[in-house]
Amino acid sequence: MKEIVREIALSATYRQQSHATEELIERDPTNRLLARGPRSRLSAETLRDQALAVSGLLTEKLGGAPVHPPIPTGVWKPFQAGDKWETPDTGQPDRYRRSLYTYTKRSIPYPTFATFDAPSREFCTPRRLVSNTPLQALTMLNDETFAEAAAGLARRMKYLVEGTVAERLATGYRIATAREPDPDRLAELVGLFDKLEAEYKSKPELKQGMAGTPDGAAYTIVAQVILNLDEVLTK
Amino acid sequence: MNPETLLSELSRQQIEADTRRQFLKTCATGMGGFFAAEQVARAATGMPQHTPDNPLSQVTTHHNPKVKRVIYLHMIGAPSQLELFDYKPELEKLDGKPCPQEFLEGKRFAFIQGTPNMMGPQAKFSQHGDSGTWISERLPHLAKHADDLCFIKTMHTDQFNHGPAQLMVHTGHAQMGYPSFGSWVTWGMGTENRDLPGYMVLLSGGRLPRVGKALWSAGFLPSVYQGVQCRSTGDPVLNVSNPAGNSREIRRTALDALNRLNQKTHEEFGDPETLTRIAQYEMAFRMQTAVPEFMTIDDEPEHIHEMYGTEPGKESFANNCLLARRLAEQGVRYIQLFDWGWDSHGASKTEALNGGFLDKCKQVDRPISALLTDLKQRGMLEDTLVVWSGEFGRTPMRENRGGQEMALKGRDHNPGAFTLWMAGAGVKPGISYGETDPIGYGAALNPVSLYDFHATLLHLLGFDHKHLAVPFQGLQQRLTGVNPAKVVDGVLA
Repeated sequence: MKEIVREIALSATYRQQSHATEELIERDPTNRLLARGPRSRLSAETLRDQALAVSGLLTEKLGGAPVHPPIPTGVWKPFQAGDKWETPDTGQPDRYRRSLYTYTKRSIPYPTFATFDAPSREFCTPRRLVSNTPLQALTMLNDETFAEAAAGLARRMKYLVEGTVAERLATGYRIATAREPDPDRLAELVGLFDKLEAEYKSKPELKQGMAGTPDGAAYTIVAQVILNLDEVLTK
Repeated sequence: MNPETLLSELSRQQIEADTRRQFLKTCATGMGGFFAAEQVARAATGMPQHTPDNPLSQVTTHHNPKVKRVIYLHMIGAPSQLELFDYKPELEKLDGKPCPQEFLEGKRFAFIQGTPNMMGPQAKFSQHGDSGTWISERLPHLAKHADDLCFIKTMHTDQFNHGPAQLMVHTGHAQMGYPSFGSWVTWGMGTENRDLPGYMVLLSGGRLPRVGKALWSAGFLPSVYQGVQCRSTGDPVLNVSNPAGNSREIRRTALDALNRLNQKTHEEFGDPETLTRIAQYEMAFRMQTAVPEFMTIDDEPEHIHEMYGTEPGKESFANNCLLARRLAEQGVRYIQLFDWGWDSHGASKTEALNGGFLDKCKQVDRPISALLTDLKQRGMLEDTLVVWSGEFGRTPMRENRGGQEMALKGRDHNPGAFTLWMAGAGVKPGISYGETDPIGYGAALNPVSLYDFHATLLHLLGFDHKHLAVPFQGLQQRLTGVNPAKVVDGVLA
């Protein structure tokens, strides 16, 4: 099994880029012939793990009992009242474990996973469906875990990187996508940062309880945009 | 980005996706044949074809439907048909007598043991409306709608425990993991309002149904078709409000930048999913204003609150009925209400026919009646179907948990016969279909299985149940599965 996986993963076909030219799209719209690399949205668990890793929050501990990461209030109402969901406080390691350690109950799936097509575990699922929905956008933008991840990536850009704003944002982009931003993309990110920083400076009420300085708030929103890029959500 | 550019780009892509063969077929049959060809192709695959940017786009059904939207009221726990709609004077005569052995042979019960006693109706019945429909004193408000209701008295199921029986009602299977009725419908038809989910679920009664979200799961259909649970506290839909520091203006600025960056990615990689993603982020942005606007009853006038008996800010079945009307008005395709607490065994005060059952009836009677009146006044009953059901019926025997007579009165589960009613589009008003035996124990004349019921509902919504199918695990999966199922013509208007 390992042999064949290795063979596939190291093949030129598997490693090729997913750029599609007009000609390729016309000749093979669904890429049946594998003339370009596959392009698919990351799975539910991987999306959350990636956000935690990119933001520097991920706890890399292996094994142990299942954990209870943040869950929106009102979701956890199990039939057995003794089955409690107690989320560790901000900063506690078990809040940021890999998704595979998340406590599982078939009748109350973890909302983020269900939204991103994780199977309900009632059947063997050889192939996951990949949907593309507004609830996924709401999760990526507003869910507590992803909001924390945006703040985490913002802190990395602001405090751990030396240099100009552009250099800091470029590093944030590289951490999330594993490639350097081209000049257009970087200009877009810098433009967004400048606009946001000016807004937060002139109207402090916009921060609505968000901690930190205007530039910190601006880094957080840019980090949110980076975490929501199609390139970041897609393999 | 400019929405016009996005839409024209999407339609260009759709055109590109059409194969040469389809193009030639269309040419050969001419423009007039296009529709027919499409229908044939759809019938062959059973798969609705949504536009690439919107998996909830409206699509044509197999035939023209009378029903545009459904409001389904499920009383979780299975209310007793013998105290509400299925009037059995014969049972009255047997009250207190030991149950004849022939009724017990080969039967399994959840709690009844040994030989229970028969129990007559625990409510007075009278006839209502021009139709002369028998309805009990427990539902005085609903009784005024006797001439609007279309009863099926002979529903039966093969499940006698709540979880599997609820799954049977909503997914056509007793195991978890199959698409729910609302998912089939939103997949098959799409939805009318692009700013709201097409399938919404509202809960009352303090607890979740036992099998939880499996009742509104999309099963093996894409997750976009699963029911969106609306909540009475916190965000009405999960994550619909922004985190701190993200005002609507800030979010707009961020989304504009995100869209431009994603547009660039699309130009580079040519992946249509990227454009779909841009469209989904825009819909999410619109939902953030539409959901809070329609998921509140605060702005309803006083006479409406009076009619429904609603109290804003409280979790109640009444509030959910009013919300259901608001969502139906906005073109939400499938609105599912669950009310918990109808399991009248008689083992505790809250679950006794002479206890909690009376309260439950009071809690739902006025709101349901108000909902029907309200829909009728707005002309919406003409294209909206309201369905009321439990998941099975209750025994004509009095429950004797542990073989002992209990202090309070209750009935055990009975899969053999239960009553449901429909009202509104496509169904005959003021009729009662099917008859149970003289004690209401089993379906005697014109029994209706849940498969028949599903086939009928799909028919009302414009589908042939045999052709709404999706390939999964080597089978063309359908709501009615491989089971015999027939449309109940007797209830169709």
